[in-house]
Amino acid sequence: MLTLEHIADRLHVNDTSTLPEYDSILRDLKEHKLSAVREGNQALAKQMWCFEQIVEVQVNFLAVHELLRNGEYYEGWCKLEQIELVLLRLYPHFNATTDQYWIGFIAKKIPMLQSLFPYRMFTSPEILEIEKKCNICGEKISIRNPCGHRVGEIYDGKYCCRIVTKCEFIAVAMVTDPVQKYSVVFPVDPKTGKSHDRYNYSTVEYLIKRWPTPFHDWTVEWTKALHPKKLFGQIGRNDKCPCDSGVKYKKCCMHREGILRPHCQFTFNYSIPEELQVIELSY
Amino acid sequence: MSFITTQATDHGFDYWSSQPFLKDETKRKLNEADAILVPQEGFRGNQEPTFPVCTEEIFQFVRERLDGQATVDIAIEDEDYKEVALHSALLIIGAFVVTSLVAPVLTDVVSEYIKRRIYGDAKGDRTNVRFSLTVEERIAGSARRIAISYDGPASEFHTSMKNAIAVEVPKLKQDLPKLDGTKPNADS
Repeated sequence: MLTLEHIADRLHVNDTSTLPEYDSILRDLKEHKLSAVREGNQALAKQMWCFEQIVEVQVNFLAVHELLRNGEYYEGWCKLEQIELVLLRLYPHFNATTDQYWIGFIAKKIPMLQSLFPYRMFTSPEILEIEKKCNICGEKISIRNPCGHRVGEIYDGKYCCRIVTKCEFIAVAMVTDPVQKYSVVFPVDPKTGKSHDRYNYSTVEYLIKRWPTPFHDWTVEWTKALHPKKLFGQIGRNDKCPCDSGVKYKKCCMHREGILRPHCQFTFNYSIPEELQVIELSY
Repeated sequence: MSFITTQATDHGFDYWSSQPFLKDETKRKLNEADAILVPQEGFRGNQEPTFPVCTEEIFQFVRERLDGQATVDIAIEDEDYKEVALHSALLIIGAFVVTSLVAPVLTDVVSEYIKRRIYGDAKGDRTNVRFSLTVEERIAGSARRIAISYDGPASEFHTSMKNAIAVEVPKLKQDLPKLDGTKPNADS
């Protein structure tokens, strides 16, 4: 079994050649955690829990890169959300301001990667939570007399949360800023009755062609830029403006020099092949 | 751009401590409290009082932070407590009724809670917050109240709320009758 120092050392990854054997590390962490709990060492058990989360973040980020390379975009999107949730649990217990264990790098990449996806509309359930219990002690939650276990804290190397034991489903809403990002709306094919993915992933594709490994560093900046009108063909005065503002062309970009559309600019902190150093237009 | 709206309201301590869904003991406690968390009424046509998801967390957080400084309670019986989870990425803190003395410090505590909730959004500009604070000023049996609501980015919450309290609370005091009984235009 690896010592804690060795585990910490192995999690300092910085390129594909330094990746550790995650399964074996997780097994060793579990053993260390059980031992710490047996000894009543809560601080050590919490440290083991933090390492487990770090492993989860690293493994999922590697998976995101692989999924995007394979064109499995929705699956990659869901993995990004999983990382985001692990980071939210981890932050209060782990200083991620430095780039220890690759965490700072990944944390910065998550919103950037998410911004490249075309998803804009999501379903969102509304639920009346009638009864809850604590996942640590199993006690039913009483608002005035709580069990004492705080949500988000770590007890015996376990994350404290609430388990809803009784609830009522109220409604489903369509939202643009969901809590659960996996609930993307996909249209249903009327012939087969199955949902199908017709989203335009060209911005994700643009990046993935130029992102050789998960460790290569890039940034993205979203601005707006005027695009030549000739690219949009004949636009009638009363047509919807191609800038996607939702208003008529005559009341929007008709009097501008071009069509004001979102502009995505990547900066690659490494060299990319000359043939890939091009601007791509996606309408 | 202002994220604050204000309006006069009758829904102060008296209103909440006279609700039929509360037992007499709870009503008495609410009347003695300095700050109370109050339910949302009529959500989606539902007549039952409900609270936004994570109210349990903020209630415990505020109670611990204000321990020894102010009495904090919640306008519901334990067995009737229910939360509505909307699953939109909007941080709904809910609604408090507070005395004017407690309003600034409660705002500080809520602001601290928001910062803890938005790890990963250090600037606070990607998380929107919704919060309502009814401030009540009482002198000689009379009361004036103002509801200050915030709906905007987490990054602007503390400054906006503190400014609003600094502007609105002194106005409540001006409207109240003086202790010698002059200007008797209060509503209760």
